[in-house]
Amino acid sequence: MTTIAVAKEKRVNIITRIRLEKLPLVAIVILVFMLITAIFSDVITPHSPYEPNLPNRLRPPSWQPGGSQEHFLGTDTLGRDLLTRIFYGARVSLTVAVAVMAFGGMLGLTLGVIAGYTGGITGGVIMRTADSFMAIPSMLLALVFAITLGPSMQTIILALSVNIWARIARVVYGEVLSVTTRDFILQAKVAGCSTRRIMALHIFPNVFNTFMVVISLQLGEVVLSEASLSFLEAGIPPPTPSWGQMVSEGRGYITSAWWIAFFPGLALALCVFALNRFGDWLRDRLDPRLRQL
Amino acid sequence: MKRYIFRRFIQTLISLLILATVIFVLARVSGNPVDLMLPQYASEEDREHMIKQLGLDRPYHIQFYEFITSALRGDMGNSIRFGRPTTELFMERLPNTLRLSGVALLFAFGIGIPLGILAGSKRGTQADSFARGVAVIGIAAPSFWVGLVLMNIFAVHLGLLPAARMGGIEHYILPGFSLSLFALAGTTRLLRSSVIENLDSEYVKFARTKGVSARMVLWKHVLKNSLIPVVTFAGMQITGMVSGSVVIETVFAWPGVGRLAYEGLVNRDYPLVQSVILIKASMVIVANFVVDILYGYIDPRIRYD
Repeated sequence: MTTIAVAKEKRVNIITRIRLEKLPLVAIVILVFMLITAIFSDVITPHSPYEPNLPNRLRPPSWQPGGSQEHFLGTDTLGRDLLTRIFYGARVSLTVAVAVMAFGGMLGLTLGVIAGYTGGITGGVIMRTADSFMAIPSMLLALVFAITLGPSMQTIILALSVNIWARIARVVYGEVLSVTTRDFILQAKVAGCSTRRIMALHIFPNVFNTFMVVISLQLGEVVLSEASLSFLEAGIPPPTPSWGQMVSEGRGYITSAWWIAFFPGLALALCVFALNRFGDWLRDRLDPRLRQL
Repeated sequence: MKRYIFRRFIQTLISLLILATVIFVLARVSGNPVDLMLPQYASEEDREHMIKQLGLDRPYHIQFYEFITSALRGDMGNSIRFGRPTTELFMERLPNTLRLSGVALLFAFGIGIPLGILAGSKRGTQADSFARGVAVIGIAAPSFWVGLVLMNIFAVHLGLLPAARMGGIEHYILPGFSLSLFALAGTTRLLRSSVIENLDSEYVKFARTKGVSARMVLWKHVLKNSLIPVVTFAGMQITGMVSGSVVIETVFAWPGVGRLAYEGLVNRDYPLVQSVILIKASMVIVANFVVDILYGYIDPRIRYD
């Protein structure tokens, strides 16, 4: 009797908890699906994303006349399976996003903590530099990176990291300022902790939530920037499948083969939507004060 | 206020300096800039000659000084593809971009502001859900894709609007709307949340207690205060629109400066890309400076930040 009651209560709890925390279920489903397809793309699909199959080119999606079950979303200009390339495209988008957050995010976090805690001239110089960087339009700067260093995944990661660090540093800096005035930092100082130790062990964990929120709010934009650059042939070079570049390839075919441009763009929109949704949720949960962002 | 303007002015100069430095350094870390400027079939003598001519054999600080001063004079070399001064090409194409951006701004504010007010004042209704849907789609959907989808529907299938290139007023609708989407969504979202916030404030409660009609409260009191964040983010919208114009002009074959950057990019026309980006980015930085100054006048709180 009691066990049944407990089981029942638990089930209610999960449902109410999801409702209470307002979990963005749709976003989570989309993100999990994309993660799975990105990681296991070679296992999920029997087709190759690179191998051209010319007799099979421009096949419409399976539900359209002339489509086949083998190519659910049809094939592209070289006869490659579109769905397969979309799966691999998720891998590219997510790799770029994670790498940019790792480089640019870490740089912003480190500089933000240093600027906020040490203050003085160092802090002033760092923050003024960050403000100046924020005024420079990132897409345009990334185009210069692309033409000088040549379009590649490394270039795009570098270009987007150069842009993202400043915004992260700005938010982290503000948070560090408020943490620094708290008693436990003073106590750590009294106890004789070195500046580096205080920053690493006392300040860093306390700004981590904010950091995570800022990063997740930027993820969608990073994915979108990568796609736009790849669309302009300034991003990931072919044949590596990237959503933006796939839309660009389908551009010349919108009258005859609309699906080539349509589905990669749809995947992109869904991915960005899910990332934004998730970022908003994380912000509301962890740090509602950042609503302004 | 003077101090604020001065501080923002210095900030703007630093931004411009960083921009120029990044472009300068990038061209040099990737090898000799001459290799970016010469066509692939150029001979070794041509290369030597050009290095001498451009002064690329001189020390870096002198090169940098030259780079900045000639940029200020508006002399940024010739385009490889067009064989003409890049600044001249830029100026030729600029009006087209400005016109398109103007139309896009019209769409963004003309639709975004009413939609935001409607959503904020009628919270929880179907109109609100619609506005929120527009905002979510506008922010998440890539503009180049939306542009292509609209082109497919309205130009290819319905044949109502021209698909690409410049022309009469009907040519502005599709690219203008696609370009406005991000700003439109941003405006709607911002205005909605600030209307909601303001409707909940003390001064609104006071006005209501005083017996001011709901319509007057909304239009006279709430709207004025709610528009402040929209102005604040105008700088961000300008930046977004300038970046977006590269993509949208490429999609719609629009002969503007964005398309010029793209043409330079695919033709490996380094001088062209360099100057288009340098001028465009500088314009954005200066525009942001102006917006911030205006903002300082509208909302005095910002000056003491």
